[in-house]
Parts: sequence; structure tokens; C-alpha cells
Amino acid sequence: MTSTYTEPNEIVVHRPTPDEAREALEAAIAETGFTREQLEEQARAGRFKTELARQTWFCLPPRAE
Amino acid sequence: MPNDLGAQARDFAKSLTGLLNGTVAHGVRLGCAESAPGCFIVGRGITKNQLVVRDLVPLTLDQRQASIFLLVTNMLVADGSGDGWLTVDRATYTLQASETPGKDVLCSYDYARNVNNGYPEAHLHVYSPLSDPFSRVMEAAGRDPDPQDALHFAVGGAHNEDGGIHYRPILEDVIEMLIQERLVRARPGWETVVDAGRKRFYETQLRAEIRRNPNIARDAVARLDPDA
Repeated sequence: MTSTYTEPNEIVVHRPTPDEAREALEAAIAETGFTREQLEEQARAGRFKTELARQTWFCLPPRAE
Repeated sequence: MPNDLGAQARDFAKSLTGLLNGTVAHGVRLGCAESAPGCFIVGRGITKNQLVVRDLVPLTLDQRQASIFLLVTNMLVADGSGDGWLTVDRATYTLQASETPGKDVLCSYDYARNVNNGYPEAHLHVYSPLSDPFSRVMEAAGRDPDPQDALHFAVGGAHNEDGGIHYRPILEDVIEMLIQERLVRARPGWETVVDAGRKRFYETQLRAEIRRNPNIARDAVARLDPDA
């Protein structure tokens, strides 16, 4: 049946600690084989080296000013 | 009126979850996390330990294997007005023929504010697989024959002073395209779900425009109703 739809459980907003957030982001960045600076440079150039790099950059929060 | 950024992010994740499950997906739930102060990431599989979207949405209505997968990523930040409103800072809706992140990409609709790289902020990535006519044209133009190379094809919308684009295409448009091209099966009543999402988005965009241009809004209302 294609018309059955059950609402998933309520969505919660996860709030990692700064250390948890840094660790999670660093792990994801490492998967790309690039550094954060390299991903940001690729974004500025509008040319990502890999698709995974592009998809990862879209999730990187802006750096604190 | 103070606004709860977390509640806005949660409502956004909930609305996209409803959109996907009401049209082309089944039992999907998007996650939401505050990955930095005032910055929220929304996508499938997001938890406090997973702040980058790696889980694609299988576009299937039941247990049958999907042939197309959709990466849904939205990054929300405060809009800079100081009034406590979130806005989409970056979004990518990427279609793949594989569930593996970054593999077998078909195309991608991207939106990124304030990158300032000369490319349109809302654009469709048209990829150039090697050895096809597209790549020959790219080579002739002096571009590297790189499979990751892509054209940034601008899509509609209205630029605003804050670096964003109002009334740009949204996830509802991607879903509608997939259904109309008969690339995926659609749940009965999908049109109603898509229309409702669009209406919500356009209303949100209009409200943001009014906040940015209150004098124009007041003038327009006054012309509608001189007694207002």
C-alpha cells in the first residue's frame, strides 16, 4: 500500500557540547581527505575536488568571528 | 517578540520530513542539531555526534529498493536582523543513483549565501561525465575534463540586500520534477502536500520582505485600505 503514512517520532534538536561538535565535524572533514581550509578554498573557487567534499562543506558552520 | 531558534529549526525539520513522507518517501525522519551557536544543520541521520549529512533519503514509498536517492541538507542561521529569525544559509538537494554519499551523482540544486565566488547563489549543478559531448565542449573552452567539473546554472529568485535569494526554488520543486518526470512513484495526494509547502515558504518569504521593507509594506497596505 502506498497511501499509508505514519508520522515519525517527534523531532528533537540535538545540542552537542562545543567539544562534541568539534569532534564530530573534524571526523566528517577527515573523511573527505581535505582540511577545513581546503574545503573552504574549494568553495570560494566554486570547484570542489570531490562530491563528498562538496556535500561536506554545505554542513560546516561559519567560523566564529 | 523573542523567537526560539531551536523551535524554528525543529519546525523546519518537521515540515521537510512531512513533505518527503507525504510525497516520495516512506518513514523518513530528518534530524536537527545546533552545530555551532545559532547554527542548525537539518538532514537525515543528524545527531549530536553526526553533524554532517551522510544519509540519503531513498525515494521509495514502501520496502521496495529505491533507484534514486536524495541528499537533503539545510544549514540554518540567524538572519542578521537581531530579531531572532532563522534563515537558510546553505542548502543542497542532490540526486544520486547510489545511496553512498558522493557516489553516482545525477545533479544537484544548491543554494549558498555570501560565498562571493562569482557564481549564482541558487544554481543547478550540471555535471559533465567524461567522454561525452558536454566534456568535449568543456575541454574546447579550456576547462579540465574533470568529472567533478560542473556548470552552475542559475535558477530563479529575487536577490535581497542580505545576500540571500527570495522566492528561489525549494525542495518542493525538486520533488515535483521527479514525479513529473516519472523518475519516482508518488503518494496519492502529493500535489496537496507540495502546494501546502510552497504556500508556507512564500508566506515566510513575504514576511521576511516586509520586515526588511516596513515602509514599503505600510505604503502598500495604506493604498489597499485608506482607513488602515
